[in-house]
Amino acid sequence: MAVLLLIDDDRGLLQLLAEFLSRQGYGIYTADGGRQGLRALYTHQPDLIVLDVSMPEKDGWETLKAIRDLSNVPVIMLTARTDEADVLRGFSLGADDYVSKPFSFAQLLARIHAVLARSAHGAPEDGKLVAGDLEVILSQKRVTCAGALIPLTPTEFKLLVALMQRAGEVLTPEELVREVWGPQYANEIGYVRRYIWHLRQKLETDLDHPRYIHNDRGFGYRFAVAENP
Amino acid sequence: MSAAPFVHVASVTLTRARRFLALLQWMLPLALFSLATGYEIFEHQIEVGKPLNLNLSMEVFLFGILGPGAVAGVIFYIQRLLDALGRAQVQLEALNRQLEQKVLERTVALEQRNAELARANVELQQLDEMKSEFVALVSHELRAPLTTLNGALELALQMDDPLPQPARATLGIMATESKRLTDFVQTILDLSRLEAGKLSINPGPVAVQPLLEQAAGVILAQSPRQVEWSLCEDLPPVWADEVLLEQVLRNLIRNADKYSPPARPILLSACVAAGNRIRISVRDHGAGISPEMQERVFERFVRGHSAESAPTGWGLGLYLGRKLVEVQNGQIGVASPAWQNQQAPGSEFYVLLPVADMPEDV
Repeated sequence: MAVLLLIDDDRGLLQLLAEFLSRQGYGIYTADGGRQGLRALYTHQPDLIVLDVSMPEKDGWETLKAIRDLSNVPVIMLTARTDEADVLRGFSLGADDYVSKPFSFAQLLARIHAVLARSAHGAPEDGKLVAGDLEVILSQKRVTCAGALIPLTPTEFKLLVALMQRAGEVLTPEELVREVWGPQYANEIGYVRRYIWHLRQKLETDLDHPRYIHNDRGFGYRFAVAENP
Repeated sequence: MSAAPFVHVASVTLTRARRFLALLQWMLPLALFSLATGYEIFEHQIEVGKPLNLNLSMEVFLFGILGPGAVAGVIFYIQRLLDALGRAQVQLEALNRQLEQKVLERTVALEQRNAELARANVELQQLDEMKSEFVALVSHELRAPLTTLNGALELALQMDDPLPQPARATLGIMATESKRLTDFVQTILDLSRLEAGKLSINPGPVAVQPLLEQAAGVILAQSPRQVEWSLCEDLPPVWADEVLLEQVLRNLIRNADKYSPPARPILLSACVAAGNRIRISVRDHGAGISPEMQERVFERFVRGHSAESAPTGWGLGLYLGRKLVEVQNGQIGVASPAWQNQQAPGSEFYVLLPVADMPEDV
């Protein structure tokens, strides 16, 4: 079973988390500060680190930077802040996921499972879809076009990923509805046309000559990168 | 602009005119008398030692005495007029000075009040910043211990060792209350971010039926509550923030579940409404809300049901709901009674949001 390193200055939480996660079968090491955490990383080589942001002396951000200098081990940040700027800062420094306090232990466990599963399937590059200037980071639910952040709703994100994962193929509206909304909405193919139209508004620079999402009339939609007009 | 320079110039001009007239009052009649008398004597060619005739005396009297006398009278009248004008001028100057003094006093008072207002404004801003900092601090300080508390309870309730039933029940109550406090802290934080303008909105098309079904599924997962559906066909998506809209709908469904008898269903509906909008509504079979309370129920810390037997709450959910709908250019409202049933009139909470428009020919 995987070995986890928990770094948090709140010793009460540390103790409870250690007990909870060890019951789930994980090997647990704990550290109550950034410096101690870095020493533990060097000594025990954990499979995943759970790191609190708010710590005295060396805080979570500094610790994360130092961790990234040493290793590519997956890191889940624990934060009491949910400001978008903080979350983006965490991701830009190399965090793999974050959980906002107050969280339930079951929620943290689910995130640990997901991050470990992603990391077991390969390098972080596997969690990324790239096509032309478009880059989708699956774990962060983040889409950029030529480096600029494209704000998508969760459903728009699912739709784009569904198209990109089968790039080059023509997907019928029924297939897309099943994939994005679920089989119970298979008859609601009207959703697709509207969502694709709005998605193009956010992604494409020339709507008359779309670069990414193409409409094969009578068949469906196809994701492919067209050459610049 | 002050009128003082103009008044001063007018005053100087008036004084000069009066001096000139004083001189003219004697000089002009005298000159006219000499001219007229000389002319008349010349006209009648009076020889020295010869007595004056009646005709000459009359003409001298008419042109040499009455004429200049009339001119002197007119000048005298003009002088009187100028005197009156001078007195009016003096009064005007005095009034002007008084006015200037008043303007000065008022300006000083206004400047003082402006300074006071500016100070009060700065103080209010400081207080507002302090309030925001306080809320952030308190919520942060509450979040960390709540995490520990929730985790400890979660752990204790999962223990393999059989706990005595009363202890398990007590832990269950603690877990419920801790969850309630956690939700409250989260609501306060959401509100604080919303009011500080820090809540980012991510709008896009949102298919109503899946979102409504998902919200109902999450909130009523542990509840035996029946749900009835009334959804119009071919409902276009709304233009909204998917995450925030689901939060609002969850809140409305949670309220309907809390405030109506468990045996009665909740009606969830969505249809196209006037103004190219979609109306999403949650209708319950509860006790209903009075017309007075319907006007206040979306205000902060106002609760529709305040009886001791009413379910617990903080009076913030609907306020947050209103704020969240408003930032999405939507409208939230309530109608009660929702049914023709005096025993259980019920309430209908609805949200109106714009249709996610697109051209028809695409």
